[in-house]
Amino acid sequence: MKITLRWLGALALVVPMLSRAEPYPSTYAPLPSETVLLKGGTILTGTGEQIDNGDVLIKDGKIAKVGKNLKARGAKVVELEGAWVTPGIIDVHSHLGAGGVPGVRAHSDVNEMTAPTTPDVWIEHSVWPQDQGFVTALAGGITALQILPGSANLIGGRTVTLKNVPSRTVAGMKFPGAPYGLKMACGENPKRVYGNKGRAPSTRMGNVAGYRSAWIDALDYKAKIEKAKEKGDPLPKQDLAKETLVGVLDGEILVHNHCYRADEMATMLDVAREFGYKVTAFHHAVEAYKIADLLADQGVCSAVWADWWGFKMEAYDGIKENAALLHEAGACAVVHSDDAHGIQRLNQETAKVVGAAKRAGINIPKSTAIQWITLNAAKALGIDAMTGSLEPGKMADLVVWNNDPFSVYALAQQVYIDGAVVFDRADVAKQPMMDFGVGNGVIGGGQ
Amino acid sequence: MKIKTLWGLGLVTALAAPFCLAAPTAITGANIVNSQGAIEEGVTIIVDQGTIQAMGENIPVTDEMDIIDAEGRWVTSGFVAASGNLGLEEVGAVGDSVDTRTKHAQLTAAFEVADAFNAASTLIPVARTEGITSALIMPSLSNDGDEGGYDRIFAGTAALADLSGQLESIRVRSAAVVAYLGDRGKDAAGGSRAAAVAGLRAALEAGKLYNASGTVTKRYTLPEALEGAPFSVEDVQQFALVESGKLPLLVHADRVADIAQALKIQQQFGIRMAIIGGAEAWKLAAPLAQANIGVILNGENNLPVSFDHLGARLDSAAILSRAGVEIAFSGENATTHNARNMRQVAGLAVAHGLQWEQAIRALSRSAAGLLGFDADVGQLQAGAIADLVVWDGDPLELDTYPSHVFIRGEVMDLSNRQTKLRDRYLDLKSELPPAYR
Repeated sequence: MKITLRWLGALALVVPMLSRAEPYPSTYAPLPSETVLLKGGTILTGTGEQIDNGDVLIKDGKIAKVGKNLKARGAKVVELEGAWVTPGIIDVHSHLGAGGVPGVRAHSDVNEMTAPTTPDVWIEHSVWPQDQGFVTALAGGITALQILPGSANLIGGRTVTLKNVPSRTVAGMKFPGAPYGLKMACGENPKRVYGNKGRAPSTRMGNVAGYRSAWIDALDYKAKIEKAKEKGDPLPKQDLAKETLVGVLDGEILVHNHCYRADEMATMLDVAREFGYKVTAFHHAVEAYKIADLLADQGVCSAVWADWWGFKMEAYDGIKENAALLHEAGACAVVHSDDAHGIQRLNQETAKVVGAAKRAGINIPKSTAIQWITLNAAKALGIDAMTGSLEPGKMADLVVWNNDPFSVYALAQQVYIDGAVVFDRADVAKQPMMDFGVGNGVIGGGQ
Repeated sequence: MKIKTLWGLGLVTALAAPFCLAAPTAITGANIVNSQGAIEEGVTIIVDQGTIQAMGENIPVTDEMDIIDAEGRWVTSGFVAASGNLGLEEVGAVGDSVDTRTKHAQLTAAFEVADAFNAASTLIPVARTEGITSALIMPSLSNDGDEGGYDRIFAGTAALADLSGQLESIRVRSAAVVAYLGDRGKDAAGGSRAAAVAGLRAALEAGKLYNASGTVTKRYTLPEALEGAPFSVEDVQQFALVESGKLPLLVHADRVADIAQALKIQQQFGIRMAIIGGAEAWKLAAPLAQANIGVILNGENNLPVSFDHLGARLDSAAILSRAGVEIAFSGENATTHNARNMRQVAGLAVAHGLQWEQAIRALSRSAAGLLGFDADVGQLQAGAIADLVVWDGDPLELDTYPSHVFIRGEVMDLSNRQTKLRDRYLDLKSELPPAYR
């Protein structure tokens, strides 16, 4: 509940400033559910625990109990027969819906590549809820995901966190109570995109000058608002861009910073310190392992791939053990996808890290590693009080796997969101198909 | 078929001369998938002079041999990367380090990527330490698109290289001419896939004419009938090799209609062909099997990423394999830098119905086999090149790694730039910066 309260607090601050209610509210409503007792599986709770031959009781869309030999009158009993249960998988980095399939130019709505700082854009206004990628991700156990603007811009715009439930509108997917994020990007992409246009930034120093200018403007706007309020004067005209940045300065919007290189992450922590904001997570933090101690000290999460490397210069030093080394240093590790295929197998991406770490003499229990794609991901999105682990009172977002989810052969059998079965590999009635796939031969059902 | 195999054999063995004089090695207690696709246990494999000298249950081990006791672990033939640009590309976005394509107007099919192969690339040890011992090295289409000539559908000629990191790594310099149908071919050919199909036919007609005119030895003359054709002499010579069945044609195609066009062309000209991509190849599984056309499958795609991929599905491999189509694995995230992920893609195919033994076959011999080089590459039998991997678990599992990798009988180093970076940063608490480690 902590997050919800904090979020309500945020509204209290923002509402008078805007003099109107929160725009674009979530209209999400859970799908129908029943009381279900999952019996006799291997449970990875997401809190760091593994319960063998354990049970999970789902009631009113929430986790009611987790333990052994549970009983519940009137509950539908599902015998797990050796299946595994994990919290729903959460991807902190996705562009589904904003760069949907088919990947035609008409579907390219990720990067507003017309100015290097565009904090005024909101990715939810690009999200097409009919992207088939949502349902293939669902078949991979994804129950919540953050959609971000792309990385062409220094400051790319607001992110949105979604429940991975099919809906006709993006509002119907918005995770109720999830804070907004702000996408920022370091390094090669912004300087390449704008350098090629013959304008700033064309260098890394140009990048940093760009962030600093934007934050100086935001501080100025914030001061004007505060002064007007103090004097009882009319508020300045609403500025969409600065309003978002002020939301970050006020701690209500979380910074998600695409940043590959260790030295640049350190610089971005300095920028954050200069202007008094916090970086919640570095994304694509390919070199995070080089500064794992610093990231642990600063309490910043690092969202990383298992094995992407070498596709550009700032990705050349990627190693598979990245997340494991972060975890060992006491830092918050998250495994993310940034990819419509990878998002279907975040469990396998995590397993690759565990396997590589084992070879390096670092043993990470599965009960710990699962946190990189569940509870830690929820923390990075500010929704960990509501989901991300199997704890009583939390949303019943979970996955039943037919096998150890760290095996290449494991498939998600059932996916529950708020207690509702939203995907069932054995039941075609529970295998959603997006409109694009209707009548044109697109294969569904988790295939 | 006989001629093809002999041709493959000749080229491969010529380049497979042993480069080491180490003592013979005996790998004992191995679990294997034999060349008939059956599992055998307790097998001894004798490696000497770069080849598998003997293999079986009761092979004597002598004192002068080095012994590796596999203790019931899996031993496979080294895996063959079936797509990508190993040795042609260091950092994808850094053009200076990429040799996969050319905009040269007179060089399409005859663009031989083997001649750009960099055996010292850091990608090679990264792939090798995960059990990949050889790779098809592919040319790519120029990114410019809309070139507007139907000759532009040819990316060049692929090679087959080992991943020993030795200067002389090319096993087959000309492994296949690579052509693009489908959406990429359509752009290259000027805007319609019909133009791409026309380009393929025109090239084979040119090759046929060239073969018929007997001017193969006259390097700088074209038959009169070909004067004014959009192809250079070098390209026509390459098409002539394809037309005569000496060189296979590897066709990028995903939409079933494009694959059907490729199939028609294969039947019309009687050439050797394989498909790469193959999103909807499962719809033609039976005719592909009948025509002996293999598929290098993008095995992780199940999304309609383009209008050519509407029927993409994760059980494609299972469907094709059941029909008798030779398959090999590739994938969006299982190529070039991450060629190592072909094991994961194969595992995924098993999760979706492919027989495990067939997945091992697809990883080891099929990439070479579907182009006609399976005589001794990717084979686990006496006489074959000793590219071998001893695994510490199920080769398809995500936490399994090789304990030993042999290429041409030589034991490979299992470190790479990534393991070295890892070791450099394992301990962040030291007096001197990592640059001194």
